[in-house]
Formats: sequence, C-alpha cells, structure tokens
Amino acid sequence: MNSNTVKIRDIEKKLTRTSPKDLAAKYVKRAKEKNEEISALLSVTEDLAVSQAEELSDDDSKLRGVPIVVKDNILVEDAISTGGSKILEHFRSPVDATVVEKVKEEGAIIIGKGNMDEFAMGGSTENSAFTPTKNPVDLTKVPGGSSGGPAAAVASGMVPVALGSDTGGSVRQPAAFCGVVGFKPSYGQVSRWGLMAMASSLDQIGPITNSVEDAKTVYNIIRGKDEKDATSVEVEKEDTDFDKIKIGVPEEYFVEGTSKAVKSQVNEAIDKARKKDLFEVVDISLPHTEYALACYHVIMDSEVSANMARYDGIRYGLERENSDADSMKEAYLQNRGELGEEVKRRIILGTFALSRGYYEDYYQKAQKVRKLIKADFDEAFDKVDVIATPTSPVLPFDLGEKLEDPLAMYLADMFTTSANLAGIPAISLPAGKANGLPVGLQLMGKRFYDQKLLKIAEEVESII
Amino acid sequence: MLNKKQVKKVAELARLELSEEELEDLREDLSSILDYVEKLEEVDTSQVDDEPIFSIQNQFREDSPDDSSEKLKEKMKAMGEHKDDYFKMESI
Repeated sequence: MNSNTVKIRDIEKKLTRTSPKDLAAKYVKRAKEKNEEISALLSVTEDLAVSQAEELSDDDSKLRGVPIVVKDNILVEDAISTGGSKILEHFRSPVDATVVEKVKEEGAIIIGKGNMDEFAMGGSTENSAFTPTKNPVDLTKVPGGSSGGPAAAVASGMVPVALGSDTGGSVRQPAAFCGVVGFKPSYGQVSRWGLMAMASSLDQIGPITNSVEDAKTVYNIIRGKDEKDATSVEVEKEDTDFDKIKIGVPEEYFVEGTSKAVKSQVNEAIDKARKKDLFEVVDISLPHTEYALACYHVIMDSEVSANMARYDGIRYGLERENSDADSMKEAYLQNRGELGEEVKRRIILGTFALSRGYYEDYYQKAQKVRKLIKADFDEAFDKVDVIATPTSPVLPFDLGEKLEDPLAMYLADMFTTSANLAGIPAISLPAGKANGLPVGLQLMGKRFYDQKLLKIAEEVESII
Repeated sequence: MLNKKQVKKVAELARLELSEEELEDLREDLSSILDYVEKLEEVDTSQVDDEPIFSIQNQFREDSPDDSSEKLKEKMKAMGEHKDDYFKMESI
C-alpha cells in the first residue's frame, strides 16, 4: 500500500483541524487533478459534495465528512449516472440508491461517480463508452473491472472509500489489480435498489477501501433488509471467537493458467499464515471449479439480456437528434444501436440461451451446475472456516492487450465468479507485488457468515 | 457454429440493430464462446432438482400508497418528451 492512500480514521483526524466543507473542497480539487492522469471518475459531483458538507451536523456519525466515490451504475439523486454507457449519457437520477441513502445518513460526502465497463460488463474498465481508466500503480496497465474507476480512486488517494458492484468479480478483481481491499457480501446482504441491474441473481454492491477495518465499517452501514429489494434479507450469523482458523486451499485454483508470479506471491502469503499458531492450512478440493466460468456466462448473459431490455432510449432520456425512425420498432433498433460491443455480445448470447429450443440445454443446465458448485462450497465449509485463493489468475495487464479476444478477457474472472454463483461472501486483500504489480489474495466464507469472514480477513491482513 | 441468419434473428428479438461487420464479428465471437460453454454438458446433473438455488421466501408488504411517486413523476418529466404522466414516442 502506498503512502498516498487514506483511511477513514485519517479523515476523522483531519476534521479536528478542518471544517467538513473545506475538507470536501480540498478532496474535490484533488480528485479533479488526479483524474487528469487516471480518468477514474466520469463526473465530479462538486455541488453535491459542498451542499452535503454544509448540511452535516456535529454528531459522531460513522462516515462524517468522509469523501467517497460511487460507481456510475449506482444512482445518486440529482447526479448523472451513465452506467458507463452512451445510452444513459444524460440520465440524471431522480433517486438515491438505498446504499447511497444509507452512507449519506452517516455523513458521507459523495465527490464523484466512478468510471466502469459499460453496464458492468468487462474486466478492465476498457469497455467504458467514455474513456479507459489507468491503474494508479502503473499507468500503462488496466485497473481491472468493472469497478476500475472506484478502485483507482481509492488506490490513488482520491478517497478512502468507494462503492462498487460485483457480479462475477467486479469489486474484487479491480481491488486486486490496484492493491486495495474489495469486499463482496453474501448475496442478499446489501440492497440492490438503485443499482442498475446486470444479472439479478449475481449482483451485489460492496465497498472498496484501504483496510479491512474500513470495509467492515462501510459494510455494516450499507447492509440490511430493504423493503424495496425483495431479494435482500436480514440474516447475519454472528461470529464466535475462534482459537484456530482453518484455511482451505483448493488445488483447482493453482493449476496451469495461473501466472507463476501470482501463484508464488499468493503461496508466500499463505505460508505466512502457515507459520502462525492461529492458522491451520488445509488442502481441499472444489471439484466443479472448472465449470464455474461457463456456468457464470450462461446465467449472467441470460439475466443481462432481460435486464438490458429497459434501455430503449426512450425511458431514460436519450435524445437522438436527427432520428429518422418512423416506427417504434425502428426507434428501438436505432437507440439500442448506441449500446457498446460487449453489451450487444452478451445480450445476443443471453437471448439465444433463453430462446425456444435452447433454454433447457443452456440456461436450465447452467442453473443445475450452479447448484453443484454451491454444494462444493457447502461441503468445504464443513471442514474449513475460510477458503484462500488468488483473486485473479493474471497480473494487471497492459491497456489494449486483451481487447481483441473477449474470451481471454473472460478468463481473468475465473477465480471470482464462483462466489457470485454460490452467493457466498468474498474479499480481496492486497498481498504484495510481483514484477512491481499488485497481487490480490481472495478469501471466501460461508454464505451469511460475512462478519466471520471479515474478522478472519483482519487477522490475515495483519500478517501478510 | 452459429450462422449469420441465426445471429440476425436473435438480434431482432433483442431489438439490436447490427451492421454487416458487427454481424460477422459477433457470429465469430459467439461461436467461440458457445464452444467454451459446451463443456457444461460434461457435468452430470441428473441428481439435481429444479428448486431455485437461494430459498428466499416471497417478500410481501402492505399494499398502502404513499406520495413518493409524485416527487418521482416531477423528476421523470424532466427526462424526456412527455404528455401528462406518459412518455411520448413514435407510434407503432
């Protein structure tokens, strides 16, 4: 972690000497400057930040005066939310997402909207319809995706906290690439209301921060059952104190296809744990791992094709001048032509997988394989408390390197998709560098045992 | 694996306008992705039931109106061409 980065408690300290309004102004200015270099933000919400700072009361709310970045697919009232897409370029949201309402209530100051792959489809933020984001650790590399903007904002010291979304790894992988912490809660722990839906059975919002402690603080603020999200639940298994933490290491995550540099760095981290009495490292197997990515793509693309149907260019204000469409169908075809290549690719795949004659072979089959993948985890968690793997099979790659080959890009998500499929909590921790580039260690926990996972993550963080 | 006609038909179902070039690129990409996805056939799912993966109960709330929709409507009107509470668009 570099010295530019800032934590929540640093902000608390600064506020003993500075007013929230001055602090907000300072961070806005800094964000604009840093953004010239890395393009982490699609918009700087200066007016919003200033007015929020002015309205702060003198209490001890948990995020009082803390500047944060919100991924551009999470709605912030009166701010533009593009979802990284041209089709929403001018969409000014009339509402706050539930998570945004919650962080605002705790005094957070939203200073900008984070860049992202269009509609969260991608692993490098290069699919943003506006601009790619540069990795602050190495400007020639991608920051990961799809929450590349939020991760880069935290890694570059713009803010201590960002909110991202994770459907197949989109919080954890960019966190790994940028050398910061990224946490995906169990499916259902955090309301998705106000998050532009990508794949409704996989999406979760999660914090990106510089420490597990901060991720925990933010998670405890944003979690909770929400009347507006019928898939959100109020289930939390309280952790108990443990005198031994069993870490499961699945052999399937260390096979060919994972870069040697990543393997060696992650093994080094696991060895550090092995040396401590608190931890016991156990070899385990998750036999259906090799099917996770294929399973994910069928389910995700199918759900995407349904969720993208609402973007018709009419409902959310795309005004196409010189439109020569003279029928509704033509208007739809033309407006939706504004969608990016990757989005179109996934919509078409998903539509195909759900179509008559293919539904059973693709979608239904994938849903069944999904249950087998979840069963692997259920069985593993009878034996271990947490599962440790690399977050990504590769180091942050060059900007432009994987653009020609969508499948190669998908493979970078190999290790993160299982957690979304199984609905389990997962976190990426910075585990040092290889060849000068950040490597992430992923820890996965049992479904609904988020507090336990976070507690274990804090222990691991302190030794790696 | 997929021919151009199939891609075109699916694109129409999804209301996506594709150029000839896009059509061909997509056909290639999709064919390779579908090839990758074929590996799911290897998995024996004969013992897996049809129940949904997360057994979440139906969530109900009181059917009582509030006035939040009024505020929303005003803001939505700023978004596009509208008449009363409806968005205007081309006729079918």
